[in-house]
Amino acid sequence: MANLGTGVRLKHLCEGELLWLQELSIDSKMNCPIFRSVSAFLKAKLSHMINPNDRSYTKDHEWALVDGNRVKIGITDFAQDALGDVVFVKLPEVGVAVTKGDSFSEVESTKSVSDIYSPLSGNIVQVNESLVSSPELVNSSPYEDGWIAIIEFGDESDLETMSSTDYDELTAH
Amino acid sequence: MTKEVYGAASGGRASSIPLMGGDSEPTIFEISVSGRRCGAIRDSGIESVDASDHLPLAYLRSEPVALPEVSERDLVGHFTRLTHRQYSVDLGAYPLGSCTMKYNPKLADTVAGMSGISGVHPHLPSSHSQGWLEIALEIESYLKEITGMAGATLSPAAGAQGELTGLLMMKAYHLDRGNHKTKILIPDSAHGTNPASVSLAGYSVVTVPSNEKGLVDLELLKSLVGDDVAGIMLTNPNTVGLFEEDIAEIAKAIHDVDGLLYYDGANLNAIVGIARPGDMGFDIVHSNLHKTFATPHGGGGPGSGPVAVAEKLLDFLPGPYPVRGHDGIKWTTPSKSIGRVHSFYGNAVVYARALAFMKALGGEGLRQMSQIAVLNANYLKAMISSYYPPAYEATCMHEFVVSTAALKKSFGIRALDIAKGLLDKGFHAPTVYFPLIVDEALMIEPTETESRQTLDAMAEALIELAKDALDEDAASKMAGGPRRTPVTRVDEARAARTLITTVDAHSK
Repeated sequence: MANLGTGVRLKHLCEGELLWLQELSIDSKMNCPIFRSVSAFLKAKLSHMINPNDRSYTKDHEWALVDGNRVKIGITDFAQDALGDVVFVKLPEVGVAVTKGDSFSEVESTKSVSDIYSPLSGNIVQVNESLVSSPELVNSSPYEDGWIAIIEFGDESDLETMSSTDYDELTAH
Repeated sequence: MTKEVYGAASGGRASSIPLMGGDSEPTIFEISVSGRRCGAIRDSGIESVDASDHLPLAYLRSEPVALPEVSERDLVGHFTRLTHRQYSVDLGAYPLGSCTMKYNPKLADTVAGMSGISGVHPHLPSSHSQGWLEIALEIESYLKEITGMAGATLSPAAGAQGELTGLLMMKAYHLDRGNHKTKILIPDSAHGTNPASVSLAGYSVVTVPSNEKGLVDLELLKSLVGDDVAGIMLTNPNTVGLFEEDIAEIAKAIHDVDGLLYYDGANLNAIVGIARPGDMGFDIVHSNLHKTFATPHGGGGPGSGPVAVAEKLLDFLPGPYPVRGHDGIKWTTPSKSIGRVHSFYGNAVVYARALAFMKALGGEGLRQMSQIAVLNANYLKAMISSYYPPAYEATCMHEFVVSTAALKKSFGIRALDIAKGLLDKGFHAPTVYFPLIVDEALMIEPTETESRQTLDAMAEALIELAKDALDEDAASKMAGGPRRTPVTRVDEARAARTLITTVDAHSK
């Protein structure tokens, strides 16, 4: 919780630490009232903080911001948090064709390498060159400075994404 | 030269200071003193010549290479101090899941060090190395028996090379039969080497998702199997430490399209003497001898990754390999061999160690080895499961995966922090963030070599860390840990973003 800047920390628990931790292990049966309330608070806090509603989202944790016949692609705050410190972004070449559902880029963190999938078919028209020297922008600014590529498309109805509300729901637990 | 570059005190200090507190050991270049040597070569009586009289100038250095210049005393002191700053399998428990970092009995080293074994030149003709060839045939026979296969090669130098060797045989098999295959299936929980080997062998990877039980989703797998599928790579038990219950049906689905089953031997330690990959339907099996049979662990190697194959792949084995004939054991190469994959016959002294280990334990001993590995994993899992929820409920095999996602969500304590915290409690960390299908994964493999007392101490350490997450002071310490090790928390992200891989780059 310290990382959320709330200043709140669970020091005193309903039946003491042991019981709380036992509850923790049974993920589906969060019977401890303090945990439930803090958990709800955290969820509200998280959903308030992230996932802007000016764009749509994929189940693979990319975001897509449409502007005319172009769509800007990046990864979500949830994704960057799960990946951890990003150390390298393999950018696609400008001009190459991408196919819906296929990987066009890779994001490498200290934990793993993850493919970035295109939510629709089109051509890469721009890539975020600043990620070459500053891959950490994906962590610090996933929705703005950390964008990855811009794809020009023919058919917007091809775009298979969900609303920010649905994505909030997907990543809430 | 190096003195100017680093501005550090040269010559080193024959003292134990670098073992204390936060003091660091300088690099070998930093203790270099111009002109200092380990030994002197006496006048050989051979006239010296100028290299430029005999070699093209383009191939000659313009100035000597900057090697460190140290005395033997400084050299031994430097590496001894570094050794004392390390954690190793000889020092303590090393529960690094999937890697099977078990203690290796010294007996195997003693046997491998015998002059009859280590003193034989690999260029000796087969007529003069019959004893060594007997060793090779004997370990081959044991590996065939343990894996349930018809033939084996000891050539590959490590598990990953074994994977490539196996896949090249798979490719040769399909080409020989006129099969047009392009894809190999791999579960989403697989080791990273699997897709890498598939790419090297010229196939494309198709990922098979796991189901909620952590096993291959059989129906999804069946939907992915077609005539273009060359085979599947699996490890069983899989990377979350669970036995793939549907293995017989998986094998049937793959064999129905004339595909082959590749067994990644990384988790063989769980099933030796209990179940055989060959009986499960596998056609190719590599063994990581260091994980299961007491040979040196990774790092600098050398390693050994023998590959055993089913009857239908015998003709494709790499050659030459030893075969017993009327007049002794001789080298031969099968008709459709994929060729050589290593000089001579692999890293021979390494697999001699494995043979010593197998013979010392015997068949019943090897079975007990696997039984205790599984028992130890389940014991430790039960000890900590109230604090670290297992990713999957089923009884585990030789390793298990827990998730610290709840600790991260509530207190910002990540799997990495728990792992680093364990270093401060005197144990090596488990594997973290693998397999990728489990959020904030800790993958724990205690191995059969740790006693119940050690397992209890490890469980206690892990539980203390989970409790520390609740306490603000303790948690903030953990997030910056380890604090008691010679090297404290390293900045992994900066290290990866700002690569410094050479002395030249360092000086800039």
